[in-house]
Amino acid sequence: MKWPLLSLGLLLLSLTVVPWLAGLPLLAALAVIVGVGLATPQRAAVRRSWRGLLRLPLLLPLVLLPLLGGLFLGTPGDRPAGAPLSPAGLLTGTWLALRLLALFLAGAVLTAHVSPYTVARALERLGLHGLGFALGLALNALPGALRAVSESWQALRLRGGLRHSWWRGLRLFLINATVRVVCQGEETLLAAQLRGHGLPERTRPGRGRA
Amino acid sequence: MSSHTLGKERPGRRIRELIYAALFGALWGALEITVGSYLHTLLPPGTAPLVGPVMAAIGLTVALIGRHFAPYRGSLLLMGAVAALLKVIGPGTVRWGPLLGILIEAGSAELVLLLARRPRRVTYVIAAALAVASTLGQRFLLALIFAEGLGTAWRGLIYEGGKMVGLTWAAAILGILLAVNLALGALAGELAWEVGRGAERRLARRWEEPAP
Repeated sequence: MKWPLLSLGLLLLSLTVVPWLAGLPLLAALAVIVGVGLATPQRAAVRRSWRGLLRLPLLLPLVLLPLLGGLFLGTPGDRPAGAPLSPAGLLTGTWLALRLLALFLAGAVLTAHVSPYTVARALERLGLHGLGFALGLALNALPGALRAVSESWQALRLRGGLRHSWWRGLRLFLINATVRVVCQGEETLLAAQLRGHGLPERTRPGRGRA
Repeated sequence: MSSHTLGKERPGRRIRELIYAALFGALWGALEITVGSYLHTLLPPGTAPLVGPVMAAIGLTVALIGRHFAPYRGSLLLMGAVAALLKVIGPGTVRWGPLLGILIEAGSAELVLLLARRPRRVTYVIAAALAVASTLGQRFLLALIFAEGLGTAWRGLIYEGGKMVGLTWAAAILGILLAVNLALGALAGELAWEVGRGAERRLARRWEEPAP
């Protein structure tokens, strides 16, 4: 399943960086995405996330784009007499909507297979040791850090917020949040050191002879 | 405990600094995903040239505070890389502008701190001011990468800037935008220095207190 997913990733990248992709190549891309999504071992998860796309905020642009394209794109001359919509604009809007749909579908297939931790591991394998470790750690520690910042903000709001002396209030809020984040960092450091991170390779726990 | 010896006196210094860089990079990334998206959506279109510098100033404040706790060469770049990767993994499609923007801002600030060697208040202010001002040049870099033409980027900048400040004279528009960017950056650098020092002092007091 490695190569189909890799090709899907490349497809997603090309859909993102080539905004004018339209016509047969776009239809072929959509067919590949649907094919890979239905053939994958995690097809149940893929279908679940595709069903999750059936929501108004996501469906509305798909319906509106062709209509808006027909109304506002194209030249006045290419409209048949009395028709409010331009066929060329309608087609351009349809391609835009299909490109958006392809992005949604491919994104759902990839996220069902590739966790952020896989990305971190891949970065480690590429030799970016610090970056892979840092990304994995960032993903783990982010909820706690955000909670610490949000609690500091709530505490400041209860004491009147930034209304009186906003610079001092902002400074105190940031100092408080920073201290809490650093304390969380110290806890993470302890956990990392317990697992042997930062120690020489041969002194790591679990590496010696049984 | 002095300003930049916090990690050096304890064992496992390298891993500690890596953890701090990851934590502050994660905060920068989270702010880019949440506040950045809100600013781009909520602010009226005429203020577009201001959203980038405001986000850069917020992000650099966080990163430069983090630099107090990860005082090694390249830590700002690592924070920028973590923030950029979170932006890629986060909701929405991959957009090259913000991605490159974060890396350029982190790189510019890192370069200034590298050249200055010893971090001081003035170094932080200059680093942040130049990094925020680099947002003005980012659209030219993107225009070069995507072959849109430098002239188009220049006209876009003057048109959007002119709409925001209500002027038509290109030099005045550029001057005002540059001054606003430098001022925002300087404020971010000053705040980061103050907060970093304050947090260090408070942590030093906490760690030096005897356990109950």
